[in-house]
Amino acid sequence: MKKVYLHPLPVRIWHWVNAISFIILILTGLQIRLVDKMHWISFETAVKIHSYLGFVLLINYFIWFIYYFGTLKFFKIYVPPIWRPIEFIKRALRQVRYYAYGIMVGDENPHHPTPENKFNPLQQVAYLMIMIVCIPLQLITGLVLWDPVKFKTLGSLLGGLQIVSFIHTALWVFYAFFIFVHIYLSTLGHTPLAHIIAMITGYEEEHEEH
Amino acid sequence: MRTKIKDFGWFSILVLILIFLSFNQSFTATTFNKNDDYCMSCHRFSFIKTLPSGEKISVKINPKEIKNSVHGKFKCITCHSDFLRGKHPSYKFRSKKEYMIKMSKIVCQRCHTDKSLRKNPVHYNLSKTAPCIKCHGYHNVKPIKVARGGSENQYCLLCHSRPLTKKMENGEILSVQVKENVLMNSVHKKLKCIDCHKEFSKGKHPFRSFKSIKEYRAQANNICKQCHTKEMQQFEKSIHAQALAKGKNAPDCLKCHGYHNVVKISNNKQLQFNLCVNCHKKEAQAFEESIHYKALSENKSNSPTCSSCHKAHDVLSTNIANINKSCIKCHKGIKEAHNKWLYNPPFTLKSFVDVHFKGASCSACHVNGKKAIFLTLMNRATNKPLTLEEVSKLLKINPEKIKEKIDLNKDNKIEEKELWQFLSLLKSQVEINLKGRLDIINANDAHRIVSKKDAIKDCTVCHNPQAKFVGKFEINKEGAKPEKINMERKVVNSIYAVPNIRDFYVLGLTKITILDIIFALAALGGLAFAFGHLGLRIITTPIRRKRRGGY
Repeated sequence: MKKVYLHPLPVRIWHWVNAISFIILILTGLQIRLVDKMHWISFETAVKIHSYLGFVLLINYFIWFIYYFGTLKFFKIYVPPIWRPIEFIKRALRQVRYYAYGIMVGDENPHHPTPENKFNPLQQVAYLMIMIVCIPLQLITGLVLWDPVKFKTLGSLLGGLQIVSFIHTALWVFYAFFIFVHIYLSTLGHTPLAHIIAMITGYEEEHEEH
Repeated sequence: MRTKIKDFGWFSILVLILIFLSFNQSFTATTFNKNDDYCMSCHRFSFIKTLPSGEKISVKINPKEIKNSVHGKFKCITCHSDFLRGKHPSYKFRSKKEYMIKMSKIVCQRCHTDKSLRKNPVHYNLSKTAPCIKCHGYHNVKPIKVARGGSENQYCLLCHSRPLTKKMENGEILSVQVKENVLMNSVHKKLKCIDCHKEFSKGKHPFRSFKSIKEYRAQANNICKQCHTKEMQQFEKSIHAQALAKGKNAPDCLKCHGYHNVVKISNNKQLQFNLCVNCHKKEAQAFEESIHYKALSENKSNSPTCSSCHKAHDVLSTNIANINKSCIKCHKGIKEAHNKWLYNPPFTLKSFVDVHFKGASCSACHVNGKKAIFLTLMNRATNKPLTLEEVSKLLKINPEKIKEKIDLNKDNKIEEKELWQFLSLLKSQVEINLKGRLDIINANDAHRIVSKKDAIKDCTVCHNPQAKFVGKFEINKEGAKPEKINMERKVVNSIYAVPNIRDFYVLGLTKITILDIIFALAALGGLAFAFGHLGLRIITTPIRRKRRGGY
């Protein structure tokens, strides 16, 4: 099988740091919120880990940002072709049909990833929203909650601390859903570990499904 | 012989006359005339007249006093003209005061008429404020003449050193006596009387009338204001001044600083404490349990007293004043001290200490009292508390009925639904917000500050959904302590708290509970999607195998 170099090293580093941080942040977030019901670790330790990893995520986001914007790959990989909306919608619907039906009956995945066109239309929309809206919003609201006095202006711009906290928590809820779906979808390669191994080695086997 | 007998007769008469005269002279003053002798035949004795008020008046006359007085050459009946040998009217005075007033009128003012008194306006005005006897005495009438060149103070004290009183329109009696030694021991010892009492002088003594001592004292504050402008401006903002304006019994300048014994209250902290304790006994008892009082009783130079936190003149209630600022005023390195353990990693920012100082009172952690989440009604436009009076105007209801308007079921506790309903009603009139803070329930507990080692350092005391806080809804009142109503604590965990309590966020404590449920549903949804899809793929395996021809 022909191998395609799909995930360059900076992307792989970013992805795994992000993945580990996300899982721990979701769990420490849960411990902080349910301090009266859960006793995995102490409240103080949970807060410390959450704060440290919040900054790790912030730095990590900049790695992603610099890489994708520096190489201009962001526009090719993440931005859907809104100048061809009908075609894009058709492709997206084909992808939905594939996940809902085609994959069950053994249809071929309509999307074939290349270094220039890594994501299928559904991935493209989801990852664009996550990378440009959700993660920045999570980081900004996290910073405000980390020190509401230092980031008072930012908090006011967002409508006050309660709204900031609401956004931060609502995104936490979304990630709780996303993380399971994302992990499951990563097992839909030609073998359950194919995509996961690709994110480690960088090489994806061609013609294999996502 | 007949001549001898005749001579003896005349001699006998002469001897008898001499005996009679000598007898008379033995009980009268040599200078008294016959009319006075008649009066003195009785008034030389210590007669006491008891008045209905129970007071006693001596009617004994000392002839020497009269001789040395300005009336030394007067006969008794010159003044007491209604008395004659055969006429002794009986006066019926109810009290000594009435006796002085009426006798001054009947006796003194017969000669010293208003017309003659008007020649000296000061004297005339004084005659309307006090009976003649009060200043000039009874029979020992002395001229009150001020030596030319004598000081103004001496002039004033000629009368005011005596036990003069002033009657208010409501019948209250005020002493207007000024004791020179008291004045000379005050901080105003170098001042002249007229420096304060500007409308008075040697030639001017206006007659003033006050409804009550309270009204008199209100004007007395204006006297202080003439020099102590800054202090008065501060005082006028105080809760004391506001309470005074409402007619309540609250301290004014004189209450703390005294009348003529004005002292500077600055150095002796124990005295300062005692001054406030005169009225605030309950607060003093609480303070005596504190680490602050321990320092005060040990005479430590940096120990606090009441004014250290509450200020001296612009005393404000604790929820209006930022009491935390008062703590920081003395505990200067407190932010750094807290920052040693109170920070959010990876950086030790002092602003994180400010986050806590802003959201909780110092006493929330440094007092072992019951605590509450206070939500104060605020005007969003002005960022100032919305007062009960303002709410009353906005909703066009009596201030006393506002509580009923919030607590609709009258169970003395605001339920979640009741709060949001009330806020919705107010929002139709004005932009509002609820400002939150963590504080002790009983404000008096704030006086019981414990030592540093006994303060709360466990984060989960507050950062816990089950933290032992009750809820209090607070509406400020103009010039009074705020209206505090019991409130369901879980209002801060409601989704409606997001738009209504915009800037009050305590990790764990104010979490929006429904998001925990949605989190669980989202996680389960993610798992359901994964296992559902996997399940379908497993079920459809034979179809795929068949298609690939794998049977």
